[in-house]
Order: sequence, then structure tokens, then C-alpha cells
Amino acid sequence: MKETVLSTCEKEFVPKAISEGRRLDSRNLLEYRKLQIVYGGDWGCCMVSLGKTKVLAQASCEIQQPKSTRPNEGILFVNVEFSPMGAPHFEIGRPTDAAVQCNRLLEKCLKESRCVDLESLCIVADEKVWQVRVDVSILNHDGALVDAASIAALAALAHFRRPDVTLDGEERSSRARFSSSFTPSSPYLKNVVVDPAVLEERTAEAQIVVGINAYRELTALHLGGTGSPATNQLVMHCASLAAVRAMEVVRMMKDELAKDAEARVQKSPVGFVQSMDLEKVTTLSHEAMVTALGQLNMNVKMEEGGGDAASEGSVGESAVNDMIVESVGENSAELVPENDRRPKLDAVALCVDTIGSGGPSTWGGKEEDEEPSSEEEEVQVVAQLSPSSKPKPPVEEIELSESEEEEIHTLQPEEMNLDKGLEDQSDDEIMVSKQNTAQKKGRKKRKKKNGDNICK
Amino acid sequence: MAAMAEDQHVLRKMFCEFDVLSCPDGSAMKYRNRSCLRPNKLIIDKACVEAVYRPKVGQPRVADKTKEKMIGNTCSSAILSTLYPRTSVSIILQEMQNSGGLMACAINAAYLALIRSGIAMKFLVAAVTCGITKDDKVILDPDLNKVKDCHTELMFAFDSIDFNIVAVDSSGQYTEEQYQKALSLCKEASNEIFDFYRNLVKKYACCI
Amino acid sequence: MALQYKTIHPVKYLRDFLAHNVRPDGRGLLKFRPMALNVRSISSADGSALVKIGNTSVICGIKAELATPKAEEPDRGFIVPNVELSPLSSSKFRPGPPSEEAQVASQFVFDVILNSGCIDTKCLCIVPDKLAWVLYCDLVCLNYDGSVLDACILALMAALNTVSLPEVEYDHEKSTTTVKTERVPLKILSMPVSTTHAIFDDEVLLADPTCEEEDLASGTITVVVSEGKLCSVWKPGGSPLTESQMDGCVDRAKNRVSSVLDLINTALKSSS
Repeated sequence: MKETVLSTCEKEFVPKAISEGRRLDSRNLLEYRKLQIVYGGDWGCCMVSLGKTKVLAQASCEIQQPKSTRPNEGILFVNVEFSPMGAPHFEIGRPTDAAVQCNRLLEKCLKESRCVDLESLCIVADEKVWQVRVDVSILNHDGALVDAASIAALAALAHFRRPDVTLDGEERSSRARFSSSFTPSSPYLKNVVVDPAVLEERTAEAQIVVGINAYRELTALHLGGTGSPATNQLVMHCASLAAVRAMEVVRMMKDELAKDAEARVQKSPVGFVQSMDLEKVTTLSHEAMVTALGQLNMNVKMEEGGGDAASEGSVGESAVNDMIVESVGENSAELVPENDRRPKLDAVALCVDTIGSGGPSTWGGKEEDEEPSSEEEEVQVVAQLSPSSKPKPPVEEIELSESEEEEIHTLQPEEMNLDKGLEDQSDDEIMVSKQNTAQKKGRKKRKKKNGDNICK
Repeated sequence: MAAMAEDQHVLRKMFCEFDVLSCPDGSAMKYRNRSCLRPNKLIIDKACVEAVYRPKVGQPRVADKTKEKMIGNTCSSAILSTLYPRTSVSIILQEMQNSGGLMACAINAAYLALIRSGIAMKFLVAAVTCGITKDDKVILDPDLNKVKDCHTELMFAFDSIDFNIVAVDSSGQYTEEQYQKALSLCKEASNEIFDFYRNLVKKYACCI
Repeated sequence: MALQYKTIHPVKYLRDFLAHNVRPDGRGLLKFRPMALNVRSISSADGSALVKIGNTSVICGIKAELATPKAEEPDRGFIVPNVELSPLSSSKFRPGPPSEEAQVASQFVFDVILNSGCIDTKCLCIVPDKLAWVLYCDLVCLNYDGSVLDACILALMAALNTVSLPEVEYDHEKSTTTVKTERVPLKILSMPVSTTHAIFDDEVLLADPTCEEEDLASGTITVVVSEGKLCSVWKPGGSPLTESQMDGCVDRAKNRVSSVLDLINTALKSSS
């Protein structure tokens, strides 16, 4: 699905409103949306919502061989997934340019800011190190994705605990250490707007993403867009805005982390469920429900089945019992219906007792199960190659040749409506009757052609 | 009737939140105790129902394809697809936390999202998981700790009209008797989930 | 005429047949197709089998290789089943990476191996943490005509029964391996047998459906029975079934086991 096109009104209105110092969601130009960080029940899992933008991050780890260039360092891997859940125009397995850019930016930020001490992830130099992996999935897209994703990734890393491994394989949980943190901020150019919503993002002239840690150290700077070149002053202005923001975010993250740790110590429930506001109309919780497994209706069920099931059951048994196993040459065996040797489709016998006693179909070509089963395999294969060795009904040939004569064969309604005729006829009879009608048709057409001799 | 008192089964607490997402046509976040998923759906230009299941860690694997097939088929059996020609219904599920009964939770979440999206359906489906412990007890809705004691897990999905079986999935070995017991237990429990659906819609409907 | 009718109204065509309790290929509704089994079909593989159920044919080749076990499970070997639905078998499939159906089938086969416990992966381990067998079970569908899962499970089990692994010696000091010529047959603990039914028009059950029937069906259900126990009941959605219908499927699956096992045993015996 393609991204919806922006209307001209939107394109004109949003920048104009911003130039007057107003925004669609009634924020000031330098006001951020409400940030919420919720830690999940698992270690290293968190959900960040920035206004309506929602991002889920999960950190995980596995043991891997280190890169040969850095044998005593662990590996940090970041993967940002723009799933179609976020916005309809995101496609699975086909990352958009924005997704690739976001991924690279995040990876650069996290690695360069050295928020994870990679050397502490080393188990045996040159042999085994931890690879810490952060999966970030965009759940809802409403602008400022890089901001939300970076906060989520960092919060997940800060919450994450990796198992402590000793060389003889014993495992115990310990906390990974993280030293610093950063947050990017993506303001507009000219009239600087922080934390843009999706409409503002799309109507912006340019975007600056500043990665900065809580110690006012720049870790990433990205400038993109079509606007006029940014001046020194503008970049500095943005960076100082970002620095203030970074401190706020890190403080909030640490507060939430402390709350989560406290909840875990007190063994009170943690996780996303706790963050749900049950007062809202859209939410509902259902108390744990107790059910007593009574005497059940297991006995009743047999009667419920009725005639239908009963007959099914009996047929089922006979279906298996009339199959016999035959050994055919070396290494082979066959399971064939016992009555395969007397394939005679008796129309009268099509009542309940002998349902599906089998026999060859007179409709299609003969199946391979009718060939002599005592033959060697190679012979069988040859026999299978010509399954429809029986003469074709004359009907087909007639029609074939007619089409060569460029005759149009229209299907008559009475031919289509076969099931009425089927009611009390056996298969053989249907076959005959259909052939008859078709032959009649053929004859009619032949008459039309006035003795044109087609196909005997 | 001493046996009755013994056989008490508990379905864990359920949570659901609608409209967590702004972009899609319908969305619901459902937590059963601590498992939760977040689905949403959107419609494009085809005539099929597809499910996308995303695990929390890493790329989707072969096992997730099986889950997708299960969820997709279970949903498409209820949707009146003939009413929506040239339409594609995508059900996207994101695992958020797994504490047992993930498959059942995914199906329930998908149905809640379908309810919210207003797509016409023949019936609703509720899925329930149960486990068979090593001492051959059937327990309802085992959480991660209880799953460790179970050699078998069964998942049943029922329709809301005749309580017929829409989907079955199982792991482990079990006798037919255990299967029957699990089936009737889950059937009973599915009632509770339909109640949950009903209450949720009731609460939500009054303010539209 | 029948051909045109079938092309234009495939559903009605089938319905007409089913109204008379007979299927287009002449079977009754709950009848199974004849099966043929050939074991040790591929001499270069460590174990192999060719299965035909009606027109459906699946060949299974098992290749054993040596590998290091996983760090988490140092005393276990591996079984890696892979189902291949190539364009050769049906026009439904395209060349390229495995289709979704093939992936689902592979996963199903893997689950059945795991659930039935037919092979103890501990037996595949030679030296814990150092050396273990990996059994690559390649299942290639040669002709796709419905009930492929049944054919895959049958082919796999027959092939596993023919597997014999060479004895391996591992020198701890030099950490070298020597593969001997003597071969020991693989221990198979149970024999799962799978049975598929299709649901047509929401109520009619068709045992062992063909490809055409599967395409028109509103759902399928596969029951795997091993040693008198159920080891998988798999119904991925589709139209709802009543309990008695489900029980019917399970019963038929159970009844079928003995004859299928007979088939495998006859084929295995006739080889020696």
C-alpha cells in the first residue's frame, strides 16, 4: 500500500501555522510530546511512546565468535524493523530508505556513544564473546521515529541483564554495565520545531537529528532534506536544545528503571499490563476465572453424534479393513483395496453398506492402481506413463474437429444443470446420457454442415 | 462429587485495550496475564486474509510461518470474505511478551482487532490452551512455570455459535482420553472468553 | 463433457459426486487411496524410501553427517527435515526459495519427529560436546496430488528405518575421528502415522484428499498417531467441525495405523 499523498492544503497550512508559532496539536514550537517509558516483564524489554508514536524494543544476547579485527570486544547489533503495524506503507522484508537510515543512525549513535562497554562482553578473547542484539519494532508511526527508537533501544539496553557465564558452563544472571546515554532530537530548520508529528515531518524543509549523551557530548549529527543550507548557528542552536532534552530523557529513564527494580524486589507484578489504564473506555480486564470440570458431557457426546456420525464410524472401519498389503518384488510393498481385482461399479450397491467400496472411475483415465501389482517397478513406471490407454469417448474428438471448423459450441443450460439428472441415475448412466446428449449435439451440427464428414 | 472440587481450573486474568494504534483500521492490544500481542489490520486491494506474525527477537523463522498460517486460516474461516471483493485483510501481530499460551492469545487478539475493525464475520472464535502435566492432570491455561511440568500442550479454538472446533494445535503425546478431557475443559473455558468479548464491546459501544 | 463441466463448475462437479457418496476417482468418501512403498531406493544415501499414495509421490533421502553439538545441549545430535515442493511436482509451485507451504510442511514434519519421540537425539551423539550425527532428511515431492503430509511422514519413517550409521571412534588426545566400515542400524522408538482429512462444504469429510479436493476444501485436518497415542492433531483453521466429526477423524487415523505399519514392515522384510 502506498503512502497517502499530502494534500496541497496540508502542504501550505502546516508550514504557515508554524511560521506563526502554532502547531496542529497545540504545542509550542519547542515543546515535546508526552514521553512514556514502560518496561516489560522480560529483561531488556520496553515500550516507548512519544505522543502517538509507539516503539517496542527488546535486547537479547547470544554467544558468538568475535570479529578478527577486534578479538576482545563483544558485538552490538541493532535492528530496526518498520513493520506494517506502524503504518500501512511499511512493508515486511523490504525496508524503505527511511528504515535503513534510521537503522544506521541508531547503530552509529549507540556504538559511538559507547553506552555499552563492549570489552566487558568478552568471554574468551578471540573465541567467544557476547553479541548483544537490540530489536526495535515500530508499532505506531506518528513522527520522530528516530527519537522514539533511540530512547527505546537505550532503555532496553539499560534494563537488560545478560547471563553470567563461566567457562565450565555454569550460568547466573548479572547486570550488564552501561555508562552513558544519548538522545537524538530532530528539529526543523528555519523555524525550529522539536519532536515533529508525522504531518510536520512530511512538510518540513529539512531535518536535523542530533545524537547527544547526558554529558553534552555529540555522538551523531544528521542533516537531511531539501531546505537551504543550515548555518553554524542553527546547528549549534539545535545541539543545545538536544542537550537539554537528553538530560531530561535520561533522568526519566533512570526513574522508571528504579521503579521497575523496586517493583521486582517487592515481587509485585511488572510488565505492560500494569501500564494499562483500566479506567479507559477502550480497555477491559477480566478477572481470573475458575471453572470446575464437571462430569462433562463426554458420555452424552456419543448420542449427540446421531446417525451421521455412526455411519461415518462404521464406514471408517471398513475403509481400513478392506485394504491389504502386498509385497511387490524387492524392497517394495503396496497397500491396495482388497476388492481391487473385481472393479465393478454397481449402481445399486451405492447405498450405505458398501459406501466407497471403490472401483475404478469411469470418468477419467484409468489409475495406476489397476495395473498388475506383481510386476517389477520399472514395468510399473512404464505402465503409468500411459494411463489413459482406453479409447477416448467419441464426443471429445467430435468437438475437437468442430473447433477446427471454427464452429462455436455453446453450452446449453440443460447441460450445465446436471445435478437434476444425477438424482436417480447411476454414474454409468450419467456417462451414457451425457455422451448421448453430446453426440446428439454433434449430429445436429453435422446436419448443419450438410454432410460435411467430420471425424468418425 | 469430591472430584469436582478437585478439578478446579483457572483461566488467567485477561486484559485488552482497543485503539492503541492510530494508523490502522482497527487495533487491539490484549494481554492475558502477561502474554500480550498487538494486532491491527488494514485493507488494500485484493481478496484475501493474511496474517503476519512478528516475534519479539530476531527475524521471523519457519516456525512463525506455521503460526501465521494457523492464525490466517482461523480468521479467514469466519470472515465473510465474499462481502469484500478486491480487498485484502492483513492481520499483523507483534509478540510483546510470552508467558504461555502464545498461540491462543494471538488468535484471541486477532479476533478482537477484527471486531474493532467492523468486518462482517460469521462467528467469533475463542482460543484456549491447556496442558497435560507429567502426572496426567489436565490444567487450563498454564503459565511459563506450569508449562515446564507439562509434557503436552493443546490449543483449541471454538466458534461462538455451536462451539464447534475451528482450530487445533498440539505438541507432545497424549491419549485419546486426555484429548477428550482437554477438549471439554477448553470448551467450557471458551465461554468465558466470549463473555469477555461481549463485555468489552458493551463497554466500548456505549460511548460511540 | 465432464471435463468442461469440471473446468467451469469445479465445486458443483465435486458436489454432484459427493451427493452420491462417491468421489471423482471412484472412492467412497472415507476411503483411502492405495499406497506403494519402496525402501532403499537411493543407494548412495544412508537411508531412503519412495512413497506413493495414489498419485502423490514423495521420495525421502537421509544423509548422515558429523558435526559438533550445540553448546546448550552437548549430548544431543540433530535431525533436520526439509520438505521440498518443487515446480516438478505441481504447477502450483514456482522455482526459488521454499514456498510458505513447504516451510509449513517442514515444520510439521519436525514437530512430529519431536512430539512422537521416534528418535532419541541422544543416540545420535557420539562424544558429548565434541561429535554428534546430523541426519539431513530431504523429502522431495515428485508428484503433488494431495495428502502430502501423510506421504512425507510415511516416507520419512520408512527411510529412518533403513538408516544405519557407521561406527565412529574419537581420539580424545589427538581429537581425531576415524569412521569404521561396520554399520549399526538406527534405533527407532516409535512409528508415527499421519492421516489427513479434508472438509468440503463445511460438513462433508473426505479422507485422504487429492489435490483437487484439497483446493476446493474449506479446511483440512491432520491427525498423527503413534503407538496408540495421538502425537499431533493439527487443524489450522478452516470450517468448524463438531466433536463427533473430529472423533471420527481420530478413529479413522487410529484404524489406519496397523495397515500402514504392515506396509512398512512388509517392504522392509522383503528387502533382506
